[in-house]
Amino acid sequence: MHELTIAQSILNIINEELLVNNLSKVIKISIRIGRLTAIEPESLKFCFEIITKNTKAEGSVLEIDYVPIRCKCSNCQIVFTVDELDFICPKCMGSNLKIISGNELQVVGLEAE
Amino acid sequence: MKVEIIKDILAANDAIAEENRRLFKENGALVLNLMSSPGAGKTTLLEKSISVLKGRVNIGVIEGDIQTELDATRISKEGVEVVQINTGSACHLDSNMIHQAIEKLDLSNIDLLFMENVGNLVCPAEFRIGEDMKIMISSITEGDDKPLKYPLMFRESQVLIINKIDLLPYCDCDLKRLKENSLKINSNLNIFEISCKTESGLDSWYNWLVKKVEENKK
Ligand SMILES: Nc1nc2c(ncn2[C@@H]2O[C@H](COP(=O)(O)OP(=O)(O)OP(=O)(O)O)[C@@H](O)[C@H]2O)c(=O)[nH]1
Ligand SMILES: [Mg+2]
Ligand SMILES: [Zn+2]
Repeated sequence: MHELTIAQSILNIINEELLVNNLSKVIKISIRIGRLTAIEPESLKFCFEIITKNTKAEGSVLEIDYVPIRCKCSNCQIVFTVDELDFICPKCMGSNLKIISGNELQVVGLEAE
Repeated sequence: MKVEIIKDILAANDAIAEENRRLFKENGALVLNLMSSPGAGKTTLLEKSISVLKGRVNIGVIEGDIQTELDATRISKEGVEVVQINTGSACHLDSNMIHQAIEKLDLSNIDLLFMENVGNLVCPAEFRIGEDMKIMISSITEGDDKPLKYPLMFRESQVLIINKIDLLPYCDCDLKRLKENSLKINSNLNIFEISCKTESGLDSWYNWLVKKVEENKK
């Protein structure tokens, strides 16, 4: 249940941005979540809805971009998507891989007035 | 109005984790974040390790539990410094909890600091707390499919300790498959197979710990 902590952190970031940009009502907030993180999107949306009650973000849309896991093989340099958590290069079967996406946990946009 | 931002959601946590790490480095302490599901044997392994190593290595422990001081009481019987954190509702330790706990420890007197995380196979893996290494325990009674169901922790850990191997004859857990599944998620995992009950495999774990503490001193 750390989605509540994550939701709170998102709200903190929103509040900072509202202050800096002199805005008072959030319409939409866009975030990016990598599939390697242990965040459940539906649960996060639920927590976000609860935690933003009576705040400037109440009723705002939480838009989640769920980012697939992409790896680059250190041996043959190909880039591929990891679907079934098979951290193995489909070309050379090597397991020395660099993760290039899938770890994201970012706020990437805010729409407010 | 659209505001373009790119901010890590856990940036605030990570900043404090870096500050913790700086304090640990300054004091030359090797810091291990010990994670597992409830009851896999974190506290038991700490009790064993401390009783054997305390003459050779200065050890400190931070205990994280949702409630109670039970684990800290167990550890304090071994005669080392221990601080208990009660997270209340939180299912994991975060860097700020650790930051406050450090103030109660004499870090200059600690070469090896264990942080026993809250028993939970998911959430602790998401939060950096300033550790040098993440170490996880998976016990035989949990089955051999846990790496596939809870990949993040296996992915984030450098060391996997497979505990309770004394129970292999009584469980339908395939040790070989457990290791294969773990390495499929993270091929760099350093794996120890142990039993805290029979003490099988513990010597190589102790030797590894002492070696890491010595390397950290250099
Ligand atoms: N048979 C057997 N039992 C073990 C072994 N290691 C630990 N146990 C038992 O497992 C139970 C749980 O051990 P703990 O050390 O309290 O587990 P923990 O991971 O610290 O639990 P939490 O802090 O509550 O998450 C205890 O009853 C231990 O005696 C082992 O190698 N074999
Ligand atoms: Mg414990
Ligand atoms: Zn390859």
